[in-house]
Amino acid sequence: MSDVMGPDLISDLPQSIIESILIQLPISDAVRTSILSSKWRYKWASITQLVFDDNCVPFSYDKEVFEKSIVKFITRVLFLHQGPIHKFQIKTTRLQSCPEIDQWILFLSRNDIKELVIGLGDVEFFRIPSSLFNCRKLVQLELARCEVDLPHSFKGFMCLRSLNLHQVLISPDAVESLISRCPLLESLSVTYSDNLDLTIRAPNLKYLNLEGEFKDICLDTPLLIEISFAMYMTDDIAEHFEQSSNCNFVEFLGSVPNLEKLVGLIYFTKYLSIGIDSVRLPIMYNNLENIELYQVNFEDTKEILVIIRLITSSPNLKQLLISGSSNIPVVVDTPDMGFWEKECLSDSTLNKLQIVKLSEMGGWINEIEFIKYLLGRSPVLETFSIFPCVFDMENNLKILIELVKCRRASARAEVVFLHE
Amino acid sequence: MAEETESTKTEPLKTAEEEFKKLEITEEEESELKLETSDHVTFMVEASIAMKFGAVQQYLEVSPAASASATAIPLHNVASRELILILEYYRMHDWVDAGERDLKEFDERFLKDLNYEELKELLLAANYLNVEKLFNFLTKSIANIIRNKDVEFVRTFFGIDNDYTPEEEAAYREENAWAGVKFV
Repeated sequence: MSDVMGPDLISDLPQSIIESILIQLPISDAVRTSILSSKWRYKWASITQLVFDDNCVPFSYDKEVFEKSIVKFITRVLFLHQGPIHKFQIKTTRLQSCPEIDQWILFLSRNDIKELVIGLGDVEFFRIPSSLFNCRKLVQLELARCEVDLPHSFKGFMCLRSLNLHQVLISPDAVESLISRCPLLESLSVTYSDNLDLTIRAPNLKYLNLEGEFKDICLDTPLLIEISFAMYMTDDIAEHFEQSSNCNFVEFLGSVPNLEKLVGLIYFTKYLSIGIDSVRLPIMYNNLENIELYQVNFEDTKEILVIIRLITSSPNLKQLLISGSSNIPVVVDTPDMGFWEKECLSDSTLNKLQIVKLSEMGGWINEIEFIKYLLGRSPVLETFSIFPCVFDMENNLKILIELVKCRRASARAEVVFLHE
Repeated sequence: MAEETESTKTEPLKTAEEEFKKLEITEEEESELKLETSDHVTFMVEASIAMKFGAVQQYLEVSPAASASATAIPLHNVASRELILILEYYRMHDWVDAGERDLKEFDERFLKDLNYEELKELLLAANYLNVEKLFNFLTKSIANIIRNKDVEFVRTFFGIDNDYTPEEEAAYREENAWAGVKFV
């Protein structure tokens, strides 16, 4: 763009375009445009998205001064604002609970707010005022570092489609009833959570993201198409699993037939392996095309069984990404070859599998057997990449020697051995 | 020396355009839609691109026959000058082999080549056509000009006539000093 000044062409743009420009600016810059000219005096005041963070007021080392100035700024903006507010977002670690926040939320609840994002404080958790549950038009709600109690009168968020709870103190019962009272919910994320037992009932849920400590998770989500689950393990949970007689796989994945993508992190595969050897899977995943499992322990045949059950129940699987638990065997492991002989008996083929990526491979015999298993059963395989966990020449050579011996069902398959 | 670096910089773009022309020839079977701009110029546009225009989608929803027939879809508020730019932008962004860097360079050049009036006309056209990606790109670019700049710079850049009297302006600055909005 040339810098030559011409006639004023921007001031008379339609308000909707001006608003699209102003919402791309930090809110303090948007407010500042009121000084440009009389035409601009109130243009900012009808923007429908208000986003606040630590940078909306000048920085001050004095915590109290800073906090006061943020509160004053937001209150003033809400006071001067005219028209509907669709989105209100406040993310700051420098603001603790204060009565003004309750007033803002009450104000927003009367303004048919659709999208609300609250992430406050870092020491103290912010207690969500009950007025939030009167925001009946909410479509998207995101809470971080908050404490939530469901009021008895809460009827539900009838329009809510996306719910994101990060580090939120809420009882498992309350989470369950919150979720089940959002009939249109499509996307749910519960992270940094220690809700040990949870049953998620959401008839329209499509995307689920879980991260935290869980003991028993039960999904009643028939339309689910994507799961990402990072599972942490504590001694207490590990002990619980030792005594458990449930099959976690069936409880967790037994009623999600529409799944298209599954991502499991940390102890997820371990979690699914509890009770896996005692049952047959009651379901096929005809839409499942992408599986990613990280930190799989190849010493544990039950975890390998999880992978094999998953991939043989997914006739349309296209892409498989697995990472191991990043160490090379220090002693020569004596694998349970009986396991592989038994698993290799079934003549199932992976007819759609095109891309396989195995990373953090240490060279365990079970890993090699798994590679053989995949290469021998994937007729349309295109790329098969293997990333060793360390660049240990001797160990890598061992893997490579085994690798060249493998039969390949696909003549097109390109096998790549790389250091990441 | 400076010229040399300039030419190496633009090289990926040239190849991108060439590649695109090749694609056009090889993929003759791709269906096209006829669009007519406000200055009565007709364009044959790949359906895959034209269908990204909200206005075209809407038109076809009302009169689906237009997609097959030879009648042109009228774009009342877009002149050929703007449509050429919009197509250039979308063809580049639609081009499968364009890497992130190519697109960034393309975007920068695209913006640099626009004068202020063209930018405004293009913004209006993008708004009318309801082409989200380009519209967001343009509004973001304008926002970047305003961001962190002092009031006088923004006024000068956009030719905004300051109709406040010095007393009024001082008063509004004072009034807006609430909550520490700073005016440099």
